[in-house]
Amino acid sequence: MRYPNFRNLLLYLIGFTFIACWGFNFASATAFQTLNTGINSLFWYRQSNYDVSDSSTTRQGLDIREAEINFYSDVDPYTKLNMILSLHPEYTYNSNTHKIDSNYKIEPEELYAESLSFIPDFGFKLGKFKLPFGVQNTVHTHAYMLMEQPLINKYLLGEEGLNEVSAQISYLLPLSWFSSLDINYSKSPMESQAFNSQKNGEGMGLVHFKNLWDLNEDLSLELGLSYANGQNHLKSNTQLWDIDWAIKWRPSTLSKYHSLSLGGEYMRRQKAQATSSIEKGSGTQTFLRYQWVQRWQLNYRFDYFEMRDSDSSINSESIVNGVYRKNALALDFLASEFSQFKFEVSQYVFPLSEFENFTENRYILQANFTIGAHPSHTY
Amino acid sequence: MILKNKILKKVLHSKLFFVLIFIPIFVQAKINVVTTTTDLKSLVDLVGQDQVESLSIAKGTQDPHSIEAKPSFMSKMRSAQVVFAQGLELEDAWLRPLVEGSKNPKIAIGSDNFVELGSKLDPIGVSTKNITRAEGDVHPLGDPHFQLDPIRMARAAEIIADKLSDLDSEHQVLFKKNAQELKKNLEDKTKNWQSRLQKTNIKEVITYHKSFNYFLSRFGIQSQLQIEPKPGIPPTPKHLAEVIDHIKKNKIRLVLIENYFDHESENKLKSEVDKLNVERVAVSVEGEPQIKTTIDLIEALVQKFEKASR
Repeated sequence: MRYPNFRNLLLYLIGFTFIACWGFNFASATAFQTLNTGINSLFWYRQSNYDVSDSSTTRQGLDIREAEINFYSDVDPYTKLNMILSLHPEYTYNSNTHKIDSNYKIEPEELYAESLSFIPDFGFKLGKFKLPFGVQNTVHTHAYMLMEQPLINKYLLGEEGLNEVSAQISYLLPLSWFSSLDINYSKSPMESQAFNSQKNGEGMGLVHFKNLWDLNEDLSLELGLSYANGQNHLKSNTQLWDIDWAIKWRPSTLSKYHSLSLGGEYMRRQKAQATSSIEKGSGTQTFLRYQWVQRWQLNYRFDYFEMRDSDSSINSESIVNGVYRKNALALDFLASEFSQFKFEVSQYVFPLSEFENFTENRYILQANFTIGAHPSHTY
Repeated sequence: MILKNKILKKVLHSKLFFVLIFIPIFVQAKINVVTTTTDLKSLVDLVGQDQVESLSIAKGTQDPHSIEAKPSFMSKMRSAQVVFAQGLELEDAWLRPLVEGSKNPKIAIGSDNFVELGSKLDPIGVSTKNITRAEGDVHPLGDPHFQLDPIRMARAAEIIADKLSDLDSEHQVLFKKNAQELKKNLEDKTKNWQSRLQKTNIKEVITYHKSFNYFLSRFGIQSQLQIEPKPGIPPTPKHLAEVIDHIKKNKIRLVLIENYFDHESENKLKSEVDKLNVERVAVSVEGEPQIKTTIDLIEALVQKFEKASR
């Protein structure tokens, strides 16, 4: 990965701004949108009682969390191309100077081509993109319900999640309810800790099956199943299972003002560790979102995660064995569709070692601004 | 095995087999139509009658700006033959994900069977200068709320009839005849509404959102101020105070609030201004149970003006 200096960063920003302005003006001037652009920026203020030393790379106080620059356009009647670049600060401890070096990192978050339905009921995707595994993996940071991803995603899929160079085929099943099947193949080397085999030509397979039933005009039920299988860096097999469900309510009258979502997810990973025992990680997330007026909503999530038989003597990416629990409550103020503010308090109990737990109390205030194309109203 | 072969031969030689095989060729299926709003669905039903099977994504009680791209609509759109949308960016945030998610090449965005009507109806409010979102959730290509203009809705019915004729040329005469009848009805009713609205002597109204501009423009009524300070932004106490001041100074008698907005502003205005008619009104077909067509919709609106003038 490249770490641009300030001059390079400035040039990048000027370039992006130019392209973004050109794209936006063009899109606004004509109904035929050739290039769509969007920039999403997240700023936050955070305070925590964990890892507060001056040498910590987790910085307290005010900071830029991330900016995402999104370009997308139809290539021709068959294909659409999407590119999302991520710009975010990165802090590293310099042991020579005993100082924290701060840099901005630019990397492709996603870059993929997607078919525009030229074969009925089928869709195709090729490139680097967030894979459809469970509830959260395809969600971008600015659209998280709570500040961070659930513990099961963080520990079982890795900090960056399953975001790999892949080929995907999707099939919309001919049923009276929404039922979709995605099949993915990803190649190594992968970023995810679950499937980071270094063997040339090795891959990972993933299947995601999602269903949604309208129980009535206002109420729907979602049910999803996911499975992935591939090799890890210990030249052993990793398997992932996931089941998720959600009930969503939005009334037909005054629908802008009220909504309720309640859901849960169970994820399990078995990672073979060469000659050692099989590492077993599993956990759940349970979430609730309640909107009671047009601009305010409350989000709550309880995370539970448990790790067993992770062997640090053989596994360089081992996770401390034990039980992890997190409660997070966030209040959202939606000033408009393009600017939103979130205040979150959370308590996170986790093992520092197999014999010692730590309780982290944290509060974060985040501002989220979007320019460019209208954000999609995803369900 | 012998028994199975005998049964197979009997089936193949039976008349019933041929009837079942060839029935689908002789029975003309209905045209499967998806519309974004109930207003367009109503036009499709009136023009296509029993030759169409229609579905509206937004309900008449919902704000069409804020619909969510619910996956169940993708399943319903997978067999659609044509999509009619109001366009002019009204459905931008949710229609594209639905069309793409339906994996139905017949209705792909940009194809002949993805029909955005707004731009074909001489839209008002087209921006002639560079505008930004500092002015709210604006529609630079023009105002998409043409459903309250009876003349533009008549023209929309003709465009719908043309498209349905392309898809089912056998019923072309029926579709065009229905559209012409609807056009004549709407034109006749427009003259009637014009005359009744003139008698009310109401020259200016306040509205919540700019949903009524086509209606007001058609019938020569002004609306200088909205309850929303900017499109898509809920009213602030300061802006509401300005609205109340404007109502009092200009002796405005009627405030129209789209019935998908809440009661907060309505209650505030009623408590601050005596004898003010604050009416919650449907701005789409099926916005109220008794409103089944565009004529019902505009008739109900005209009656609110008549009530306010008494």
